[in-house]
Amino acid sequence: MKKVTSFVAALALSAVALTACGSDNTASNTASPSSGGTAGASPSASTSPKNVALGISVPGQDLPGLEELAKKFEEQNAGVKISVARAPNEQYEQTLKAHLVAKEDVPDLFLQWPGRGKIGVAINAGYLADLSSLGPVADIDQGQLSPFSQDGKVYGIPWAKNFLGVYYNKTLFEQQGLNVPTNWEELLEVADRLQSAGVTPFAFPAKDGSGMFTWYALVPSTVYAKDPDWDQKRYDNQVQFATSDSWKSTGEQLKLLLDKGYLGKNINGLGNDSANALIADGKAAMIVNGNWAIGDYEKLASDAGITMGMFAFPGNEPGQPLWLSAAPSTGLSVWSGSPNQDTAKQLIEFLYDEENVPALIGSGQFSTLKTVAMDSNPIFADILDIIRTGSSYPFLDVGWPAGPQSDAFTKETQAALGGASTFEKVLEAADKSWDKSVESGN
Amino acid sequence: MLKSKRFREVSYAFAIPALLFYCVFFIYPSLQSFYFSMTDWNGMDPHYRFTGLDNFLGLWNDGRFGAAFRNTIRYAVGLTIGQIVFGLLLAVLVNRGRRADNWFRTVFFSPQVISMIAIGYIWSYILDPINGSLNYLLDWLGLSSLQQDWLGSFKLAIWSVTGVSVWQGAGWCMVIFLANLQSVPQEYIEAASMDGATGLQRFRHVILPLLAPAFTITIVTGMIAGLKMFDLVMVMTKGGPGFATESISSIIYNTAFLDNRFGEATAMGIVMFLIILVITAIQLWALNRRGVEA
Repeated sequence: MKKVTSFVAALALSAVALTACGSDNTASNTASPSSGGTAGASPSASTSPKNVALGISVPGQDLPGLEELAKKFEEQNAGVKISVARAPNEQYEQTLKAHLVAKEDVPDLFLQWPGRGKIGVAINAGYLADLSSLGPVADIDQGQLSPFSQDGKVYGIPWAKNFLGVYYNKTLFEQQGLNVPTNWEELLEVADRLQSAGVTPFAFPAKDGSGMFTWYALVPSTVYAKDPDWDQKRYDNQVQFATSDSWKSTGEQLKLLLDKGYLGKNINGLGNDSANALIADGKAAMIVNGNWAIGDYEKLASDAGITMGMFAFPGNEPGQPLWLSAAPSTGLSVWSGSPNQDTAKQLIEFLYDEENVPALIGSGQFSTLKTVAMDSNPIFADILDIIRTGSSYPFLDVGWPAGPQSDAFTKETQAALGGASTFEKVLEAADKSWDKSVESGN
Repeated sequence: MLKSKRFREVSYAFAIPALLFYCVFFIYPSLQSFYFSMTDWNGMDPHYRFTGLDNFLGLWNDGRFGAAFRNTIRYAVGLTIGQIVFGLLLAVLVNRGRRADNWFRTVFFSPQVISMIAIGYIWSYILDPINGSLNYLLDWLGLSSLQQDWLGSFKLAIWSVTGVSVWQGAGWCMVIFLANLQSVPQEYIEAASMDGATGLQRFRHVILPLLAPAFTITIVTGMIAGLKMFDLVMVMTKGGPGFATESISSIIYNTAFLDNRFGEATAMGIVMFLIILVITAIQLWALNRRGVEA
């Protein structure tokens, strides 16, 4: 008898302990404003616009004006409480994934990265609400929206245009009497002149992915300007990386830069910070990077007392068009399970209002809205034309399955740059990784 | 007799809450991961297919996983040997009854209390090929021919990372050896000296065999730490150049979080678990036997 009672007592104890743990969770769910989307929220919250707690999650420094505008929205809409949570990119992505899968503590609104291997996975899983009917959608280019869309429905609204190009030391170019190159031959000539002046043409931090950026920056002109449907043909298995002349010749372009010594030495051990230091010291003249890094180069230029500029990577042969590598930034999405969807959508329309957008996206960014023209940073002066009116192709990870970017265009490219592999093998690795990823439904 | 039996039953019953916690939060998820390793789950989508042993069979033909496997063995062996050699050396150096001993013990142990991430960043800067202080120092000493691209060279990178982990782990080994050294009875050493043994002979034939317990601990923990190598790799090289410094842990991370292949990553995790299990079991068995014999 005693045995039974003690057993029951112990079981009861453990049950108490476990439920305590459980109730703890739910308590925090309803209490924390960031969890307005959980099923635990009071039913009245979903029906009346009063007392709505909205949670928004954003990575890093995206949407820098969000907090300010959220306050303004709260003032205009009594009863709405908005909480904004920020986290570094990788941490943000993983936490959000875990919350979405568990359907617990999911923020009502959150940012998603464009493309099939990113937002596409969440769309397929049914986690995102259809935003096609919202106001700002009509004012954004189809090209910017399509990486966030599926079957004609829009699931995320991008806030800025991103692009890759070449930052360069304008002061040094002027001293050497060099002009901004507009095609491949001019680029080689510039590089040659710089080299003979004792300057390494490119600072090339391959350790931090410069190899991948250079592929991204080259192929819009070398592959997609000639065949914009190349990706679709790859999905249909009509073409392969390793057998496509355009991809092979792009690999040869990279090899030429490497073999001529235009990229410098020890590039696989070179990180972004050291590469930027080379630019600041005048030891190297150009570096491939994205518009998001402009803060670094503004600071570098003022510290070193030089002028910086940026141009589109000229991979094109003379007479052929130069295409920019450009893609939308992250886009704002609404959780399909949120009980506050209506308020969340109102907030999106408020944020993307023409008047609020400049504050929302911060200075130096290019709004996705056709109706908003923003002052540009002087560093972008040379690249402005092609951004506004020129042709572009998205970053490669946008239209691709997850895999080739890291397996082939980062890792195998490092191996090729270090002499342990070849650029032909990079393309073979890309095919292999692509097929594997598509097979597993990514 | 009867009383003690009942006492035992009651005390077992009180273990149930802890056991339940353990089962709910550890055993159940672990068993679940065996199931996920046989699916093509992408980490997000609730719809996934059961693929049997495909994920495991795929690992055999995967060059990346093979490279990561070989690297992991190198990390484990390099870290274990390196930190034991340096740990023992340091332990002997700071066990000579000098006044500064305590100060040096603190200094040598200090890397152990710094976070791996911070260590990784600090050493990345030291080993930088252009602005790094190591190459600068070599140049200053007139040894510029020894300057290297420490983290960018395919041959060197893995040993640079291993070296940093040895730098971090040696202090810990030093403490273990130190504790063991101080438990060696002075009588044995005195007896050996009387028989005319030199310092080196005393160390080799008297002290070293008595350090068997410390060797057991440092070998087992060193191997486990090496086999799990992750944070230094992610911070210092992200597995590059190419796959030259990729470890099983880092490739699991990349497969799951960059390539969205959680099923395959879980399969890798299980393979890693089995490898660690087997190696540790063999080690414990061999070292225990040796320890008893000694």
